[in-house]
Amino acid sequence: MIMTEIGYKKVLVAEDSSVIQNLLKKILLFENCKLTSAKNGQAVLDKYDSEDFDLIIMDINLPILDGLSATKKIRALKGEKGNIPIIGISGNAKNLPVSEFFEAGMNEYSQKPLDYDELIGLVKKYTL
Amino acid sequence: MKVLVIDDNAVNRRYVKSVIENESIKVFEAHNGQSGITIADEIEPDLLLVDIQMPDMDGFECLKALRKTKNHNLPILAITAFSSSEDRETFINEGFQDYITKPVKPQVLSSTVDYWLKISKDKSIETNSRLLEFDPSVKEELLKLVSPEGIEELYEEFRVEIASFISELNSVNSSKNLYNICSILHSIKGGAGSLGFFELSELANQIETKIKLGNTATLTEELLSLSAYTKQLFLKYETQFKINL
Repeated sequence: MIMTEIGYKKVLVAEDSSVIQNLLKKILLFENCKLTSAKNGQAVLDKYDSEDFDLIIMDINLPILDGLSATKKIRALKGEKGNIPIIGISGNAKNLPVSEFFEAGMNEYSQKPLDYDELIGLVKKYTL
Repeated sequence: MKVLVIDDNAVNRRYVKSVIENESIKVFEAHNGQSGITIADEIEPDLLLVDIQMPDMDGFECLKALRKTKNHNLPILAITAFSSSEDRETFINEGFQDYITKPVKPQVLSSTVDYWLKISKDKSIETNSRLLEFDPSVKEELLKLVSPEGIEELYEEFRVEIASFISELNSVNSSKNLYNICSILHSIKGGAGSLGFFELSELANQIETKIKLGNTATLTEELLSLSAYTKQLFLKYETQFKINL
């Protein structure tokens, strides 16, 4: 676990909607999480390259590089970096088989509209 | 929860069983399509895993027979050695909710099964229509997690974001910027749904789906009506945003 401030877990949120970004920030504040935002898949890789995190929450439908491709690239990283827990979120479940999210290397998947209790449960599972 | 595995290969059935069976999931086995259908009628499973390549009745025939008597929401997942992209689409088009690719990875199998069991459970509890114009229960859920001021901010941010999306949608040339339009619609769908505006979310979803299917003949009209709907929605809930949160 990386702890920059005492007790805080670092969470990278990849989400292009600022509404959802802010929503997650407000909700996860109480779970001792410090959120960093990335608005597209490439930005996720760049931020993760220069900084360590405890968890990534990744939207599937992202501009420039989508969430599945970004996940695959992270899983291809060597050592600890490649093993970070990734929670996928998406409103797209009807169109894409969820097995593909897990095949890409996501640990969990939560469908939008977000079930907040479920998401908090998942975040706790990986940050406690 | 009951899961029925239909597969002619005993080793495969045993493998699936050992991966997914636990205190809350009981796995039943059928060694061919015909017995699978009979057992499914007896036990009423919550989810089915069907091997595609089986003698006599293959996975697709088995699926068709199952769909005749079972609810179309019942998750039926294919297990298959095929993996090229046109095959992928075939499974979904034929009516499987999802598919597991061979060689089966335990993590993918158990996560996918857990996901669909949860969906199937939610569907049986949920009183169907989430298509409310505004569902106050979402706000109440949020209130358990976020301060009232925080919520007020969220709804205000949402209002501002949607307003800018709508003006963007009105200004783009709809025939030339389909990609932009789709991504805006996608954001509206996600944001609106997460804050309880289910009807708006569904409206955006419908337009997005149509564009993705190449059906853009009435796109301009649809975007106009989305914009009109949104204006009405905000007028109606203006007081809600400020006071009732």
